[in-house]
Amino acid sequence: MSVDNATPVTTETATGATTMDPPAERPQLQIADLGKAFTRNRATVHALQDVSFDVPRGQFLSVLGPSGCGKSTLLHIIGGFEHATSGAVLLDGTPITEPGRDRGMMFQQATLFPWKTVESNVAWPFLVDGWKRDDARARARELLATVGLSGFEGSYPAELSGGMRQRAALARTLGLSPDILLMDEPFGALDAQTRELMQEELTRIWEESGLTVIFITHDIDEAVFLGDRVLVMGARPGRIIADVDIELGRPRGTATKKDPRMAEYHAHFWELIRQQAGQRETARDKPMNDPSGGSS
Amino acid sequence: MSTTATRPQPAPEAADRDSRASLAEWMLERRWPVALAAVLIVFSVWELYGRTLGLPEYILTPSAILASAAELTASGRLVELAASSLQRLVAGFVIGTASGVLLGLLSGVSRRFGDLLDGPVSLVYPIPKITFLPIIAIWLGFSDPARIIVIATACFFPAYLNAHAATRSVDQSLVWVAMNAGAGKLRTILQVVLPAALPRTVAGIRQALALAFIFMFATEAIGSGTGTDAGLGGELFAARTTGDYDVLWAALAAVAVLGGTADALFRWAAGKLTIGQELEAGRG
Repeated sequence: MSVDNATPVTTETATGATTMDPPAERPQLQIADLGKAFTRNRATVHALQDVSFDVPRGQFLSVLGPSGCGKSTLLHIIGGFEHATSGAVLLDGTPITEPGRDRGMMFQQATLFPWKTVESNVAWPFLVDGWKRDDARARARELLATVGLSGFEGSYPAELSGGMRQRAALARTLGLSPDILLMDEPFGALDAQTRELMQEELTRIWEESGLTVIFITHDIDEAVFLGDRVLVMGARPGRIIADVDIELGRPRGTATKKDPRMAEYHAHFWELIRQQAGQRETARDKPMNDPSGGSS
Repeated sequence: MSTTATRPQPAPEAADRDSRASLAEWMLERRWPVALAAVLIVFSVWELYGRTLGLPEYILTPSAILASAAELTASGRLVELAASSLQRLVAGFVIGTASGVLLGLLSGVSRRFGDLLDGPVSLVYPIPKITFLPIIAIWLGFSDPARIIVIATACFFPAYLNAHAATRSVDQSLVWVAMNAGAGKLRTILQVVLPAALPRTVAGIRQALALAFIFMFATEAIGSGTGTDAGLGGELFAARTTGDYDVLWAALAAVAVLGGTADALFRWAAGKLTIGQELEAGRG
């Protein structure tokens, strides 16, 4: 985990096609012309089309979009769980082909192993890594303390609330010592109050860790509150329609939520999404109104 | 649970109602008192009916069955019969269940292997397995190996089908979590897929256990003598022809008690094994 994210990467020199970047400051993650198509009922569906963006080291990137816009697919491809039909994902210049501990994935449902206690769940990746059982358990307890779950080591996931399960899942993911956290609507299934608390908690943990985070959500306020930057995605085909830097100070907390700029961002993004939805409606109506057919 | 003792000055009848309510609550919280109460009620009605209105000579009252079973146990006959029955049952159950679970898990993990087994399994599954006994008996006679093969065949199917379905339906994201941690294929199968598939697999094994008892009885009933190795099923059918209804009922009771005990033990052990998932399903 690099804590000092202000220092440019100087140890490696950029190679390859990205010649327009400033020297020696290759973004940690580069996504180029990513496409994902699959066939359903003989029709080709473009889950993603021409998606390109870079993520500098240490950035908290929110990806905002309606359901079905391919944002989960995008995250799964970065995670190496799914494969793109075209384009590439480069992590520190190396193409991603399979999952790895350098990219820690968190899902919407806390995917803890229900047959293991919370501590065993968090300790498991260390055992996979060849740690001794006692060391793994000790490290798991430390991580659980970080996410505020001390005292629940011996509980089974079923005995925890939704928020606590996600804390445990976060502890497990942090245990991978990833360079990037990939979070797929991790708070989407939580109630409103728990969600706000978890957002503040995540902000705190992220600010201490200096990790790069890609955070998928369909909640505008969540995207703005957490993110250094928000990518807005549109659906059918899934693509990026806006890329906005969020200029709210850090550290962020309860006060940030009352910042008038939060409301401005909210209005801005809501307008984008509304336009997007409107365009889709028109696009769908077109073939019926226009006998010449029009779009493919 | 509220106890009347902690309440300040309860009115007498209220206290009575309370204690009755808390007894009912106590019974409902645990499941065995309810099960036991249901059995006792059935037996009491049966006993009462037999004593007052009378039953035909071939139906014994519970107390008479108990007396007969006690007598046969004391003479050692019932133990002998049960032992030879259980030997066959255990052998058939272990062979059938182990192969069923193993092949089921393999065919769940490997799609190709699953496709390979799918045809034969769906053809053989609907055949009543007891029909195999006379066929196998052409080679092996109505012997222990023949009976064990039939019991094993019967146990194979629920074990196989449930293990297969359980493995197929393991949550994809659990596998992704393992991949994310860098776990290899074998470790993922052993430490993630198998435990995730365990509850349903165990349910299949429980079905196989019940079938093992049914087929133990059935295979003994067909073509067996009255020797020591006749087992409970052979003895029961022999007693029917000779009119020894007390022996018949004692054998039947022995099967019920053995089967019920085996099932209870199995459920207890399985519950311990899958505690986390039981909690998840709200059955903790």
